Amino acid sequence: MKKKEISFLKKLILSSILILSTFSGPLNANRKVLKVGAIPDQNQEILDKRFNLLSKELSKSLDVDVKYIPVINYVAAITGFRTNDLDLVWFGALSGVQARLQSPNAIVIAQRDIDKKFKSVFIVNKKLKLDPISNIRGLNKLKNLRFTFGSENSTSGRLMPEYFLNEAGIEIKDFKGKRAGFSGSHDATIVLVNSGAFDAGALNKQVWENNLKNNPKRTNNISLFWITPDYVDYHWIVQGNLDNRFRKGFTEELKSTILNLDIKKPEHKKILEMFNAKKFIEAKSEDYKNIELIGRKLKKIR
Amino acid sequence: MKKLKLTPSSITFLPVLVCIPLAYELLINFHSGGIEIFKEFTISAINPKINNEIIITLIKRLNETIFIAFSSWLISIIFGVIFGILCSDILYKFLILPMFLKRFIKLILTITRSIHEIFWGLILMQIYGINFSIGIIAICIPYIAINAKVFSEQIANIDLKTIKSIKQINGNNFSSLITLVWSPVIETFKNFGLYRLECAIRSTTVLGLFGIGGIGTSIFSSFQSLNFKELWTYLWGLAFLIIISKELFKKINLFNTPKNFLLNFVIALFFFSMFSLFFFIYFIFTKNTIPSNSINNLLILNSSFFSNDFLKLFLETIVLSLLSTGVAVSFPPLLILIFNNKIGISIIRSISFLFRLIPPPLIILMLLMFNNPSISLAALTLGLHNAAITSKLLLGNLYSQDNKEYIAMKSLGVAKRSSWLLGLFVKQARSYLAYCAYRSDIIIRETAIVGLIGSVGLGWQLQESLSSFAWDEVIIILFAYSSIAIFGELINGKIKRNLT
Repeated sequence: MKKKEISFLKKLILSSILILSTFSGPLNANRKVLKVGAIPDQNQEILDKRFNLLSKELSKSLDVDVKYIPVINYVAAITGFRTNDLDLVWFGALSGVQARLQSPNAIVIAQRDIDKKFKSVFIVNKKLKLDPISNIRGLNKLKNLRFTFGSENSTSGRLMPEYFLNEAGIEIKDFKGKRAGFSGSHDATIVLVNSGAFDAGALNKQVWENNLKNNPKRTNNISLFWITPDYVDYHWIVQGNLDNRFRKGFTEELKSTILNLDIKKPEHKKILEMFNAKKFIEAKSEDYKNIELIGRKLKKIR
Repeated sequence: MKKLKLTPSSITFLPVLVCIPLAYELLINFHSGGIEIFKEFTISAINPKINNEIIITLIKRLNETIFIAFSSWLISIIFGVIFGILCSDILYKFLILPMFLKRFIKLILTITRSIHEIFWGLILMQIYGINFSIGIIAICIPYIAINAKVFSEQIANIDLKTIKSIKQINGNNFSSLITLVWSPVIETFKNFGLYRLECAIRSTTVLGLFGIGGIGTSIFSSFQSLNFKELWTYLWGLAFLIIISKELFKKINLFNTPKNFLLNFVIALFFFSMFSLFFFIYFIFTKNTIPSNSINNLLILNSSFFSNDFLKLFLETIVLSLLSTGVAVSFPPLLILIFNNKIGISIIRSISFLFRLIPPPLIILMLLMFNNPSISLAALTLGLHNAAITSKLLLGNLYSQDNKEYIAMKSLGVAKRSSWLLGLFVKQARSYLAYCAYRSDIIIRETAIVGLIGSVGLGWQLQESLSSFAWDEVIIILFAYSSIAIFGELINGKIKRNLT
């Protein structure tokens, strides 16, 4: 081969390697990491802190690398779980059912003490001068108003509010514009109702109470309209193949680590506080049968 | 009575008529309930959150954005050239190949182009999960098709007589072909290729809003939780990236480097894109795809979906595209005409920079602080975002051209605005309109972005169907979108031909 050609080849290989090494860095992935995810149901900062803290604890007690992977929407969390990009995910009731239908081997391991009796709230802009109602039938007053849900797949911000609206005889087409808005998050629902862009909305009761306490400016123009009856919500779901991937009995160890978080221990207390819970309790997939039925009825599960 | 004559300049100002229905609907929907939030948003712009943690996240996110944007830009340029050649007459004349092949490739490219990268991103994300390779693939698919169109248009200008003369002297087919297309390809790359990088950064950001990764993901998560200080840190970071990437390319000046080096560089890039292609193929085949029950669902089309509501959404999307195009075409020249002085122009430049920087979903959320959701609001959002892009081009061209006539008119005592209109703008009106025709293609596809939040058009239905994993509905919506976009492209092609 001619000298010129050799030098050309050298340059070519060198420049290819340079380009490849520069840009392929982010593609490297470690396969022996337990990847934790969560639906983005509130402030990313809170979620980051909450799940990084938990990841540290899981890593310490299970002796494996644990990485929290933030996810920006509900559907991405479900798909991420199906494609094995996530191993352990904190799902809402609806997204959890959707995820389990797509990953049949998945296992429900735990929920918070508060998740057995979860609630949503309906809020209205004060300008409407609507008094709070005590009976579900009162939801009829929301007819012909501009109404917004939170995220499309949120249990407390969409599924259950829509279910209760239906129970009261209101369909989406009864709202102004024959459609409801999707603000994208519970916080955004508050801001949009507060501004008057939407007359009314529904969201997670916990987020509502947090905002009342910490962001009074954002809730100035809103009044509470109705608190829904109890329903079951959030839960932890893991992949069914963790025992093969990590070690025998790994799933059971993971479950007991979460269930044994103890509010009396200072490091566990921090985690539980971030989850707004006193403890985690055992959960079974049967607990969510009703949610699946409602999901199918409202065509969120096909 | 004199007949009104339509010239490119008057056509540019005509779409301002859309302001009448827009202003009417916006006025009756006005409210001031969101003033506190808006104040918080604007104050945060000058007081962004700065601490070690956020700076580290910002750098990480910018790194991801550069990776996605740069890779997709490179791949789409290289494959754009390849497909550009594949669907230009010259190849078929040279190698004597059947022409139906060209028409087939062109058709495939038109269809892929008609679907916005957001759709590709959303669909691929549903199928393959969260991985920012998805971002690169999602941007590459329509970008390759767009670049191929532009490159093939330029290659089409090559004189076919040259081919005949090369054939007569028995030149080597392949090397002659390369020699022939080299110059138009490099010229197009100079004029168009670098601009596509900024587009790729913008697309990466918008895709990030839907969870693909990069700075958009951080922007969206802070915006979802209404953490405006954090939001502005990311927005300013993005602004920094856009400005730096532009300046860097100006400094490097790729085309003054020796040809040998340039050739090596191009070959290395080609290898890089081939590697990426193989990686994607590997990635696609090693991941779980759509669950089989969803595929079965595709075969049972939901007939109840074809209702009046669907038709309404379809029409809404068309109206939204028309209104937004009206705003994007007429606002820039009108504003420059009204505020035609140094301060005015600098204000227009800064505001348009902000509207290019802030992603449309965020603009619409801020506008919702003062208005109820409506088509007009969505149209205003999309129109303003695109007017910011068209105004950049218009301002660039207006003030880099020969301004003798303008100075002469002014010194003859013609009013400043009239001399601007007749001395400067008239010369640019034709090319500005041609660019706007191209931009309106993009606006049609972008209606999806605001539709999601503004609860209008097919974009809203798409998000609802995607989140219910109703693939049958998703396919119908994509088909509807694609037909609107292809129809729009045909009309715009006609307008462009009439203009040039």
